Amino acid sequence: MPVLLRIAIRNLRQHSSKSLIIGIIMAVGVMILVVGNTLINTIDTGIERSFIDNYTGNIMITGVTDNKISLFGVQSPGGFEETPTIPDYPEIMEHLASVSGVIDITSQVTGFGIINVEGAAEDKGPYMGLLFGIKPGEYSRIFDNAKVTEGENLAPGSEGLLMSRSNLDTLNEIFETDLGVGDKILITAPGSAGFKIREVPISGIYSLEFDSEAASFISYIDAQTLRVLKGMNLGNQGEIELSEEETSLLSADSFDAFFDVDALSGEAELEFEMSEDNIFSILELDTGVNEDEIVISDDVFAEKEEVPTESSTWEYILLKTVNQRSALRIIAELNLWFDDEGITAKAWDWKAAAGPFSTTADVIRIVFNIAIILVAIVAIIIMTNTLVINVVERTAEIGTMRALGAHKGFIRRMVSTEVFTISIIFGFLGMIAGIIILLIVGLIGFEATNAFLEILFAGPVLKPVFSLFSVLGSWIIVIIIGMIANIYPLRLALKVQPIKAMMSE
Amino acid sequence: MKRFLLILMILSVGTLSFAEPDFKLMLEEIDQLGSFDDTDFSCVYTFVSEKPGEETEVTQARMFRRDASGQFVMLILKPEYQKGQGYLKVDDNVWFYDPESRKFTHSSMKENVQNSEAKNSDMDGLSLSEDYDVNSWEQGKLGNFDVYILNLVSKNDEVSYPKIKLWVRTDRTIVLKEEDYSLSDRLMRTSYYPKYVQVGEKFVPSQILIVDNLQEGEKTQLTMKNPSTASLPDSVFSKAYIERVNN
Repeated sequence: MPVLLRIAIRNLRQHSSKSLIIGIIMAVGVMILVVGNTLINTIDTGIERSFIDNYTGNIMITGVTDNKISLFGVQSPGGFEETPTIPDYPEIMEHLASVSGVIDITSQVTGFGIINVEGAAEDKGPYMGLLFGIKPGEYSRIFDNAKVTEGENLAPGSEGLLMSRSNLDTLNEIFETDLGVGDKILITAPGSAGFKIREVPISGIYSLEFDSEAASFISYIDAQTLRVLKGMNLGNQGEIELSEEETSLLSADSFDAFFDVDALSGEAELEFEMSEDNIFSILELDTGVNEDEIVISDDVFAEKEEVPTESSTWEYILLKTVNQRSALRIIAELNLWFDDEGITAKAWDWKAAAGPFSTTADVIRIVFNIAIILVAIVAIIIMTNTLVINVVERTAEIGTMRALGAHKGFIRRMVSTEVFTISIIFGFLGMIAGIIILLIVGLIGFEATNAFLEILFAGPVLKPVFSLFSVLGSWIIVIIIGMIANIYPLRLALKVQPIKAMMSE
Repeated sequence: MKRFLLILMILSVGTLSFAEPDFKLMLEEIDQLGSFDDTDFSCVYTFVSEKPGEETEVTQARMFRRDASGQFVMLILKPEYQKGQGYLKVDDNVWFYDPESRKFTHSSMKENVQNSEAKNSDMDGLSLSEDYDVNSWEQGKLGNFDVYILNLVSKNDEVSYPKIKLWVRTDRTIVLKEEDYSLSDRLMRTSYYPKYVQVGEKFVPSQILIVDNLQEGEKTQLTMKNPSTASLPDSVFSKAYIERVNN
């Protein structure tokens, strides 16, 4: 064993009470750091796993807005800003097909709806629902957390709603009904053209692999129905050709140039007359507009056509990538491409997509880190004081050593070795204590008491996830804190004059 | 000499007062020319809406107006999947009917027609003289036309926009352009009326371009066709009628 280490251990034994005080401070410090960092990592991992695997994917693409945007909408003052639709959607999708590292892609529209039940008493409800408008087959291929347990999954091209069992139970409780698969509910949602109502059948009930009350709040709906509810562009409108007169103003370069000619175009012919014969068949009457130019299908006057639902109006494109590192690269590349192409869209990471949930986790981490810094400052002060007292008590000893020929370097190494030894031993003990506490937490299984904690824990129970980096990092941090606390006492020790030290005895 | 100056002053004031048009009367005249108080009015509107990066949306609707009683009914004819949706305005209430849900929802005059830039209030008869005061005015030119540019301030909060600016031809009382402002003077929307058609004694814009000044690139063209002043049955202006036409 090196001489310095032997001297250090001997000195620590001789001043056992002070060594113990410093050691306990260090052990507690390491323990707090290990427990805290592990819990923060658990929350981070929980949110990341929960959101990337189930809702956001690794990358979210949206239209551009001045305010923060997440998968839940735009976070604007008052919450009134509409989520922008993605411009040039077909071009973006075409480009994404050629981006390396992208595993899968889907698109989404998000909205809130007021859910009512036909025939329910007026004093019942309403019930607010978070609606994810999805591409049925594609979405469940990427986000497979929700498994349909009753009824059927949403089918491409058909109207329907997938609800969680807990959501449906709440709905039945509020409206005192016994709704199930196949029954219809009324969804009302505000849009630019006022409130829209849609009667939507419950096509299935899902349960989550990682069950969570908050996640169960989401209902999945076919995107076209949600577009109608939100008053969005519905895309494919069938064959409607327009005359030049009906679009000429839209293509004008200068609006004021409209007024270079006289605005009056003469007297109109008054042809239309409503009679008892045609009063109720007004929808079937020929409008007399652009007879030669509006191309309509043959059966336009018959029953309503089933219009293809493939629309390019989406609010979000969600990408799964091979890993999180490649996601960062792809985000940078995509944003460059958007700039180059003049497309007002933006790619974001999963944290932006998770919105308020990841922000809250960040806030928790910042608060924790500030608390750790404060604790570290207090610990440094206490340790410095204790070490100073230690040095003052050993003035004669250090002076004698100097008188016997010990250089300042030797004294420096000796004192530093003492502090380092305490840090190593008690840091290790603190680390073990922290791990034991976390194992106990894991065994007890703290339950999430509210929806927010469920998302943070990535499930109903907190299960700490150990990180070797985090545990060893905490140990190293405390060793560094010990060495910082040692700076001032060390300077005092080096100032000890042999003659004065021996006289002071 | 003093008497001469006095007469000159009186004459000058008189001349100035003759130079300033009676704007209240002008607004009344605009209302009168655009409203069918003695007859019913019906037509077909085509809305073509463009938004950057999105597909063009086309809506065709048949409009029935009874301005004398402040009522209108608008039935969507195209696209096919919106066919039968209808708007009913009675007094200050607007009801929207969706045949898919077979429900009426309450709307207002301030809300947009479908996904266009046009508002329900744009589809109604005009009531500028009732709703607005002329706050200031100036003379100007718009294209080849000499115009009065009127700054109007609303008298009530029922209107879609609290402040509007109108470009009115000096030779005929026809509005060529309208800018709509918020209370904080933010330009919200600009409407252009480049083409009018005479329907009986009235003048109705047959082409309107509405530009959203908040969302760059969003605009809607309305084209009015097939106008008629034939009288309409009373039952048309009812919820029952809109429901019935869908059966």
